[in-house]
Amino acid sequence: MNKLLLILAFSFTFLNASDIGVGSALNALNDYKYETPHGRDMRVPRMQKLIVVAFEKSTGDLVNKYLKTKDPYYLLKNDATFIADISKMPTAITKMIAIPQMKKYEHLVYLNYNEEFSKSFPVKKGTLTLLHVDNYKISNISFVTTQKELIAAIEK
Amino acid sequence: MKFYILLFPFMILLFITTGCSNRPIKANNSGFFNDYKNLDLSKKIEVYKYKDILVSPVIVVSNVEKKNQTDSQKKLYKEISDYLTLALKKVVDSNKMYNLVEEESDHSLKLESAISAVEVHFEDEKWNNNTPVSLGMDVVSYNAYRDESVRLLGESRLVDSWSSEVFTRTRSIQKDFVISLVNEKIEFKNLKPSLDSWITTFEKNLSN
Repeated sequence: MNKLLLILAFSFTFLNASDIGVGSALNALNDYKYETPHGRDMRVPRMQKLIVVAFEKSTGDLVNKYLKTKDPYYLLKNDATFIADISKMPTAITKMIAIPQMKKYEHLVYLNYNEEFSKSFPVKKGTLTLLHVDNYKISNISFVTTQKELIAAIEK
Repeated sequence: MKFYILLFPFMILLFITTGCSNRPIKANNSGFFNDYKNLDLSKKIEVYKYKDILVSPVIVVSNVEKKNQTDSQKKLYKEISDYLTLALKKVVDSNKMYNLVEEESDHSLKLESAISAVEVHFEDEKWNNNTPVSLGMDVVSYNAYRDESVRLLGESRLVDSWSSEVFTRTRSIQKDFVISLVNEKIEFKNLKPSLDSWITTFEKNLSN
């Protein structure tokens, strides 16, 4: 009986983890908090077709470098959101270098500071995670490494 | 090696002096009130002393920097301020307890008011529905408007004209009136129902 209760408790915990995957509601992303570089709270909007997530500096730089060449509303008008997970960045680096740099961006970046975030997401080292959304649900997940692939996904 | 030995304490000092948090401080109110504490403040106004009310022009807190405001936005904000100021004057003038005056005196109250926009998500308990949003389109507000998550917030206070002692403070989000963009702009006619709703709320509060 005790073993059964233990299994049930473990299963319940597992089922309640906010794992983001195919079939997940887009709104599940709002279980996490996001802020702009200026500290303004944000929520992932409802009408999105693509969520671009960067977990490393290199992949974040790839996105930012491209978006700096485009109109500030480019992602927005393509129903896409860019999330940068900076939870693992050292605080001093975040505060003294990264944030001041990001404040200069004209495009919108959602920053995540929660270390639990990456544990709930499909992550592949050296790649951007792309969540493709259809009818408010994640319909597909892909991983890209080049600007060309990124553009193709955004402008699909 | 010596370089890193010297660098380490410097980094620690820098970290300490610049604060432990790596996040900027966020604004959770329009700025008209310093905070939303003690909003139920309502001191008994000594009616025999205060019969007169002077209505200050309504401030439009647009959250759009003045240097970035377009001509149409400037025109809109002036239209909102003029409309509300006139409406509030009519409300005061028609109130039996008070007289509308145009000059301060030692027995007059001053009505100070502001209108702004907030992003709301009433279904989300964790979301702060006081989160300011621009009265106009920018990269932050774009999807808030698309998602019909923007409402007007009206704030007002009655203060002693001379001492500035605050007697009442009220704030009211016009929940039932969604603010939308038309061709990526806000039009006065789309705001009017929400503005009128706030005026009605103000009128009820003044009579209580």
